[in-house]
Amino acid sequence: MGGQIAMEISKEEASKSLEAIQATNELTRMTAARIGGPILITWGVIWVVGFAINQFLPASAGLGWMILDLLGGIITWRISVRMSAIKSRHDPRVFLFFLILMVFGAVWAFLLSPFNARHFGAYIVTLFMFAYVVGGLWFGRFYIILGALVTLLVLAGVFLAGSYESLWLGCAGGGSLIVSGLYIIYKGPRAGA
Amino acid sequence: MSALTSLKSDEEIQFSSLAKMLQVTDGNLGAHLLKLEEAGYMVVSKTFVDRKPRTYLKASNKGRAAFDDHVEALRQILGKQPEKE
Repeated sequence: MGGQIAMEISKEEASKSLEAIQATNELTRMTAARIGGPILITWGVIWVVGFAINQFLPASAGLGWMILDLLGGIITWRISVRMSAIKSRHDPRVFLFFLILMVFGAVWAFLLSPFNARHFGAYIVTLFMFAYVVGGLWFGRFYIILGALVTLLVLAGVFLAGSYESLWLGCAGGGSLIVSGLYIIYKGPRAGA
Repeated sequence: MSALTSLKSDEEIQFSSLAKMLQVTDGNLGAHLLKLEEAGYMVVSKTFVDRKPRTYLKASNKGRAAFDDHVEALRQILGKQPEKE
């Protein structure tokens, strides 16, 4: 590597080299994003089960969600440790990410209030989807589109699903996450960006 | 080297992930990386996850500088303006 190559290779070869470098750079970032597949599936399943409990066993919903969230957190952590292709020591973006999420959570709650217990589920799902949108600014537009799409589905359910809102949230929110996770896994690294 | 320099300076990529991504064998990649390591262009760190060894790679400052020079030389051949930092 160095300035000496200017005398040794043609313009065509230089152009191809730069294209290869650009492609490799993109592939590296996309490989980092691929870990999202199994994590999306995990949370998709948790949402489907959790909202099914909301719908059919509302008295057990609190305990059910507590166990499911704990389980989801542990599984996500294990996936991150075992499958992460890229390790980063200090990333200030993580702090920025949670700061933006907290501000959005407060503003979103203010805009939606007052909301009942049934709508609280929609609030949580849309809050998570906003996290996907913000994360997508770094991990790729796939997550931005996914976050926006599921938010629209959830809002549609709030206004149209009536007493079946929890079932709708489970199918629309959880189902979208599962399908998206499978898409990332089976389409390869490029699907994540 | 391109894959390593596309990461931030505090990021490391796992050896097996890099081999899979570049669609090369572990032996082939290992031989290539050994040359980069000997030149001081790359840093290797080893750790254990679930009691299994795991190797991480990152570009050194020297490696990043050399690669930037390489890219700049390629751009000059094509008559492009230098990239801004």
